[in-house]
Amino acid sequence: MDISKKQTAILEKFAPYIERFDTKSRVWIGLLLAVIAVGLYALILQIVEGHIVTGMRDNVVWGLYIVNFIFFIGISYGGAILAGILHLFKVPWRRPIMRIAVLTAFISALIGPIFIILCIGRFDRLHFLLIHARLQSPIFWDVVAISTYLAGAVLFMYLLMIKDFAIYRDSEVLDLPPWRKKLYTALALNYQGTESQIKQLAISKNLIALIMIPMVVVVSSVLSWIFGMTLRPGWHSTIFGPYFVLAAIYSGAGSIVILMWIFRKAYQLENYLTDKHFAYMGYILLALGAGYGYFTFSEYLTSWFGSERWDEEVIDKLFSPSEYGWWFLISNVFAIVIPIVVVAFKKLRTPNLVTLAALLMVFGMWIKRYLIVVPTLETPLLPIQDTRPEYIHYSATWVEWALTFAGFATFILFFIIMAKLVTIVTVSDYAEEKK
Amino acid sequence: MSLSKIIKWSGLICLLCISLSPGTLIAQDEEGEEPEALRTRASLSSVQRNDDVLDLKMLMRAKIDDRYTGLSGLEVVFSAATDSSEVELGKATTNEDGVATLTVNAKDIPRDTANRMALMAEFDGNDEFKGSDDDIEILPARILLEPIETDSSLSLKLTLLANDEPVEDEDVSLFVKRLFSPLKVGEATTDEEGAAEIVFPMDLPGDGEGQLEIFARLEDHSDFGTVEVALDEPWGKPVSQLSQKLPQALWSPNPPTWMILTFIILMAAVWGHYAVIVYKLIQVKREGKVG
Amino acid sequence: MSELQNNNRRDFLKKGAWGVTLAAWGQLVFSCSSGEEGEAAAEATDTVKLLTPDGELVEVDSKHLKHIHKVKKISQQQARAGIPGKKFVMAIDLARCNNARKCITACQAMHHLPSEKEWVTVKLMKDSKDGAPYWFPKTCFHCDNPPCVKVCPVNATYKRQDGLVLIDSERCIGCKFCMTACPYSTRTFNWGEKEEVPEDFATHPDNPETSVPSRPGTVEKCDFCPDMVRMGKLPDCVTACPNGVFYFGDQNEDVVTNGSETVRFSQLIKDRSGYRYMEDLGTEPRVWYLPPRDRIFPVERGYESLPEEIKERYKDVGLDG
Repeated sequence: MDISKKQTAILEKFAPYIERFDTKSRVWIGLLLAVIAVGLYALILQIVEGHIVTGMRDNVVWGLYIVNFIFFIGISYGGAILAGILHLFKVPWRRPIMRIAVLTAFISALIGPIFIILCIGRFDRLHFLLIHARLQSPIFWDVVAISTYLAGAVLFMYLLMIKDFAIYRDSEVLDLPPWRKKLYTALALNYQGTESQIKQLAISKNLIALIMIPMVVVVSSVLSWIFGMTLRPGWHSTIFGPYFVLAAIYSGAGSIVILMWIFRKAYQLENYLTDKHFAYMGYILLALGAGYGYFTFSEYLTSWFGSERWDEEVIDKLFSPSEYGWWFLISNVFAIVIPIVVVAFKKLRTPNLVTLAALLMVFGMWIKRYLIVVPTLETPLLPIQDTRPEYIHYSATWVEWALTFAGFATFILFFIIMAKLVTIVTVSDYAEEKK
Repeated sequence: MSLSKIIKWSGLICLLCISLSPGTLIAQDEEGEEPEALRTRASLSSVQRNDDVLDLKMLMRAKIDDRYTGLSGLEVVFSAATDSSEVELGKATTNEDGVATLTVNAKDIPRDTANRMALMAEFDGNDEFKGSDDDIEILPARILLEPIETDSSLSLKLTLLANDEPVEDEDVSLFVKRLFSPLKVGEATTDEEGAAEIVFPMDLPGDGEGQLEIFARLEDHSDFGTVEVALDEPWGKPVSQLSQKLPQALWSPNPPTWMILTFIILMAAVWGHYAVIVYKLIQVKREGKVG
Repeated sequence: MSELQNNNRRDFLKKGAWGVTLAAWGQLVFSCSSGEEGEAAAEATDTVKLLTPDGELVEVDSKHLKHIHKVKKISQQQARAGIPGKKFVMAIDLARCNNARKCITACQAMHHLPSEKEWVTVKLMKDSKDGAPYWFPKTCFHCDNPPCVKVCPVNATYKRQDGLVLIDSERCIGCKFCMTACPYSTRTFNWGEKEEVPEDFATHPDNPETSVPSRPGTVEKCDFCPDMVRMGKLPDCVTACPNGVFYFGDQNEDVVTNGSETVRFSQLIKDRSGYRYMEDLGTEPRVWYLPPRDRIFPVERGYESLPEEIKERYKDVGLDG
């Protein structure tokens, strides 16, 4: 197919990054593999010894694994829905962001479920989820939701890549080994840019973006219903569905900003990912942050004001400085106050500061997930009356931390690998503009 | 415990002394520690039931951990004695609770001049348990049970007879058989005709047809042992048998219909989109080939 | 002392000074002669050495003594369907509980549980600051609208027609969702215990009615001993209780019994103002409580004689002060 001058220029820029691994990325990959290896060791230990090696016990039966699960799945959903919205509404500044957004959606959707598997006592019986499925269980809903969503995310990502694959296949700028040429040829689906092909592909993209938006709303709600459907204080709340939807989009947007900053720095993409892009993403963060803040306020105000016995016990734990008070404060300052303040003032709305705010926000959102999972489980309706400290308070063990870090390392590793396979900016998008 | 500790330690020291002295071989002492058999306690009882059925029950126990505990798997020989001889009636083995039961026909049992039955049961003993036996003497007795049904009430007339003579001033109780243990529904004392009337509750659940297993009992009498008579009457409220099919509910294996429909609609909507897209991609690929 | 590890034998060591001495002698002699480091060669045989109340050492075949579960072999379908025509119900008399903890130990023995795992527990409750404390024995409530069963993704925990909620430990994937869903903290998880099939169960171990053996990585809980019930016997917690706290029976028959008293269930609930714990949750428990009115023990009775370690559990309720 025809490759415009502009596209050739982009390819030339990206050639060194996708043609081979440089020393820097090799070092990174080595480091990440080391972290993953520690995680694998922890995993083997957990398999051999049982879940006794984790900090989870009979009251707090879910811990870091579930926190990470919600966190990664949330980011994934966020990436997907943002990509869907940006595409469907033909937002003009979307071009350099789309690839990062769909990659985030895809890769986090791979990492998230790993954590749910880690949390399961008998993952040798995982297939029971299919052969003995019970439609009434929110876990079954989640299994179906995540797998359906993952299929959609892969499709979405792929649709946005087909034209690029055709360009990589046909470009003479790129010096690629034959296997990669072959790979791109296969993935490009004989795309030549004929009128009919353009049309079919455009319809497909619109369809997937269209279905992605309601689907993410449903699947995020399903995620929240794992908690919302139980009779537990702090969980059993109708706001949980929308709260999770918003939180997912919010943390997804934050992650995209962080990744934009990293790639801009690493690949010197200042011409593509301009200050404007950070400002626009900042506006999205501001709007979502305000919405998230509103939900948070509304949720805790309602519980606190009503002050039912069990709700109050959880609220007391969240508000008291000797329990989770500081973490609760930090999560809200990081996830609500800082992003709003940074984006609200023009002087602060620089790429660096917006990214810093996004980083703190994503961290705050991780803490928030911890505060959703653990304090509620530490507050059963009947008194615990146990003398074993690990049965009263949850504290994650090194095994859980090792696997948590391994999860983050895998996320980064997958991103590095994907950034080798495809350009981080969608090359084909720049041609259409010219035509 | 301090005393026991002292003794324990002195034992240990003695042992050390012995084992240090040349030529002493403790190992051979194992035979010397040959355990004795455990003492057992036997208690024999009887239940006289309808139609001359006589149950002989032997409870075998041993005192273990300060409590008498039933011993299972022991063979008990039951016999009846007359002035001159002893007739073996049969053998039975104790169950988990330590009870061996032998059912005999009361007519087959030899009597003395007073029509009294002398019964005996014996456990011979084995390597582990010492033997023990017990005997009882009972007079043949029976209870006649007559249901009285009116429009507004239910009752039962009981008549206690021993040697076919009415027995006065004895407490008899009425029970209904239930899953774990019988429910007592009333009791009364027999009059000079050996009779007593007990009102029966009208609101007891029965089985599917409302049948109840009712029995009257004179408990552990010194002369008669236990005397019992059973009767089936449709005096219960029929309990509607539970349907074998579980409802469509959140907690059952069968989901509510709306849930199935919602699931199908959602899945069809999403996977339908995917299918259309995949179809279009196939078209893209095909066109590329032609071009 | 490993020879004494066997529960049966350990029980006989309570006999006092003379008994202990004899036992110690027996042990020492035995271990010297066998030349092993206290390894119980006696384990190989089925005999158990006992001390009689008179201090005699006797040897007894364990089959005469051990609580052997003569579990009926039943099919999966039977275990899923339940005992036909029954609807089991329990009533717990709070006026009689003095935290003797016999229900707990009996349950642990029955289900081969480690001592720190309590399927039946006794909580010290005090419903409000100025309220009166009371002992609260808690089994699984076997709810008619069970939140745990609702959320199970693989149909491992299920509700039967006879009212029982059981767990198929061969099916459970260990997601622990049921543990978060149960509002009564009834369920426990097997975090690390290894799977040991006791001899009694070796022939047919995978029966959800016995809840034995404990499978690693799965959820477990009080099951109302359906294997005992099937044989017409009361669950072990009921029979073990020295105070007759637990009444158990078939609601279809309207009768419950604590082993010594057999009463009409509806009458008991009516006379004693029976209630269900946290009725407002809508879980419809099959366990009823009789309020602690006219108690037969002062509440302190259940506290004073406890080992320090267990006392510690109840410190927040403040019986000491």
